[in-house]
Amino acid sequence: MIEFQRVALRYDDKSNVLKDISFTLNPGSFHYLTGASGAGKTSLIRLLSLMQKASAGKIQMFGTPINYDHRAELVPVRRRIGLVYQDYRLLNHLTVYENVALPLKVKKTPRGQIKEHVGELLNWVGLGDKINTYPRYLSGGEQQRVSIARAVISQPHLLLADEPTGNLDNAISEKLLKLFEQLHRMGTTIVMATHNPDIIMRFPHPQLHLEDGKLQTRTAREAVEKGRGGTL
Amino acid sequence: MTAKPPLFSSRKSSLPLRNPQADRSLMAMILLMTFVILMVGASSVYFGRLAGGWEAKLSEIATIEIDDSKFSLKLQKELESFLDEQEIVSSYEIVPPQEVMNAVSPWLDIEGLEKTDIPLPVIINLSLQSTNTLEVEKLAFSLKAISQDINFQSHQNWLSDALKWANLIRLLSIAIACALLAVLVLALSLLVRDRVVLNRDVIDLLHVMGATDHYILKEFLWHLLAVTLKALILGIVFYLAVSGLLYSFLMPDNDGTEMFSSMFSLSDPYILLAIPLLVFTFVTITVWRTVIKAVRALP
Repeated sequence: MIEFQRVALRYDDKSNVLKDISFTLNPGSFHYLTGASGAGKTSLIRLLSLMQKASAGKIQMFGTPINYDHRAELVPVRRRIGLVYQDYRLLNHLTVYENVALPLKVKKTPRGQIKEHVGELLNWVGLGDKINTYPRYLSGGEQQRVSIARAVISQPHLLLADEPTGNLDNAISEKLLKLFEQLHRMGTTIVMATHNPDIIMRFPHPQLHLEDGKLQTRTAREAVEKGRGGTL
Repeated sequence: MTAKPPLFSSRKSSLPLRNPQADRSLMAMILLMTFVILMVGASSVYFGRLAGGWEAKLSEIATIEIDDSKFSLKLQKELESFLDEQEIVSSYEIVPPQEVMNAVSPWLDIEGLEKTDIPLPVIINLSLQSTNTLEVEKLAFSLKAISQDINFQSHQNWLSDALKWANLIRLLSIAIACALLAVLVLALSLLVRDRVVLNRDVIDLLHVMGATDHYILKEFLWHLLAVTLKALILGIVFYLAVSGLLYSFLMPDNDGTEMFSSMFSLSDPYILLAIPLLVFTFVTITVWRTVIKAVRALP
């Protein structure tokens, strides 16, 4: 379970990006994170991925209270989180295989297991034949699938996706959403930031909506109705 | 069909640290620092050895000098019986006049000099058993009592001055080496901090994947220490080549064997090992401290 209690985020310029955010994510849930540009979606994803320290409030992840002063305690929590970026963030000096293997290498997983898991996962995302290719030779959709494979290789309990379809066309976006649906069915908690109403209507799930730094929660039905109105 | 996965190379860093231009600059900096510190270290050892040699060879030797016109058989006998009785004098020898002549003629640039051409003093070389200043002064005083024309020279005054200068040069060499190491540490920490900032996104990514600060440190250490090791080896080779060239330029008459042995007497093998080891240790500590400090500043 993931719990945010009255969490606020303020950057050095003193502007409040997030104000008094409270919510709970149950294991295996799927939420969309929506809001206008600059509403704080990426900031909330950064807080959820522990890349950003909250200015106020309490965060509890998988039963562990988050304390940034105890860096060593963050490591096992981070290893239960997968993150997919809009711009993929693949490492261009590493091959597809090495990119996907990285989270396991970081955890010092034995090489044999790495080989096995990476091979399986790349087949699952349909890139089994691109194992030795460097990311710069892949299309946007392929790069995003590599990024998803990298995010899920260590079987995370929470998968965060920051506008993963932002740079992709509708057909490829739908394929990616189907991958997310499969992961969701396998019990992974998913939070996906998006500004695409079509995706929300096509794959209905509850919504965390940010407006002026504040959070509203909507059921899947409410989210779809909002989407039909052409708004988020 | 799945292509056969490659073996994950442990030498391939997770961080894109390979930057040929920056690596070459770093290598050049460490190479030059190693070379200069080796030169400075070797000269420090050389001066130390020179001073030690002077001290060992000259501190137990004294000279009696008497004007030839004032020297007589009576004075010689008186002196001999006095010196025989002195415990501090282990042996003495009246230098034959021709030897004094031979020693002096190169300085006067006159060949075939005869004893009658120039007034030369009588020289008596003494070997002393003790270098105790009080005992040496007592001996000098007693000799003066025998004859005011006896000029006793224990070498201790000029030797002490020479030793002071040699030690000063050694201290200066050590200070220069320390200053160079400080410059190296400063430049390296700036360079490493720059690399951490440049790779901030990848470091964030690794942190999100659950990499520890030490994993990231290890990535930096592997890469930078490999560059350092190459630079150190090149620095030693460069140093050996330059000292060899310098020696052959300064002493062109020596053959290869002498050149080699002299190079190593100037730069002992332990200097060749100790200084690169020192530089390597400083680089390791600097990279370690800088990376950990910079990475811990990230969330």
